[in-house]
Amino acid sequence: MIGWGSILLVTRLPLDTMVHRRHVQAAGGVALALLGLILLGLPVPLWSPVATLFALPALGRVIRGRPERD
Amino acid sequence: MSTQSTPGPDAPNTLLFLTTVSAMDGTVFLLAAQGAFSHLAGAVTAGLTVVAGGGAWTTAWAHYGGRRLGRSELWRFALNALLGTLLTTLAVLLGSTYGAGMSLRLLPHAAGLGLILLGLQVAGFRLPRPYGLTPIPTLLATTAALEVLLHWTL
Repeated sequence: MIGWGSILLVTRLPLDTMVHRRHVQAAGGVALALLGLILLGLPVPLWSPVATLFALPALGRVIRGRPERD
Repeated sequence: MSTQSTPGPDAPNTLLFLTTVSAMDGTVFLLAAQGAFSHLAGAVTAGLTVVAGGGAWTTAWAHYGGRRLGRSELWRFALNALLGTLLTTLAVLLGSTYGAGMSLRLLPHAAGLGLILLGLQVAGFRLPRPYGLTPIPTLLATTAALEVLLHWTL
């Protein structure tokens, strides 16, 4: 329900003007890899995958600026 | 689980696949067996990374975002959400009921490695396919077979 709720939210937000699509996808990849490290037993904090999901696209926006439709 | 986004007329099917594959490939089962869903932080993390995540978001965004949806599209979305939620809930229930009682030695490590490989794939890296085999299902299936063998022999 949390996952589908987030999908519903994403479809209602004007994300095309907020963050780069490729950055969101890359952040999803890094978040999954972090979760993998947690599953392997490494001392990675549980909040770090979710923080990555939001922080990386935000950082991308700061560095690359406002996205054009990509 | 989130892999690559392929927007287009097939996007609802892709979205359903992306959000249910983790329930079917055993990732959600293993996470539940390890107690990841027993606290809110774990459930939120798993929901936003394994069930939804970058790939599912960009697919949904490309197909549904920025326009009004018709009645049939809304029904399709709601049905997919219901089906996805049911499958994930079932996997969590099975994992927390049966997985917690099983002494899994190899599978959690394989699932961790599988998630790292999947993360690399989602982030845009192309994984090698030795002998034409897709690496993640091969890794999980081989480890599951080894786990069963280990339980029988030891």
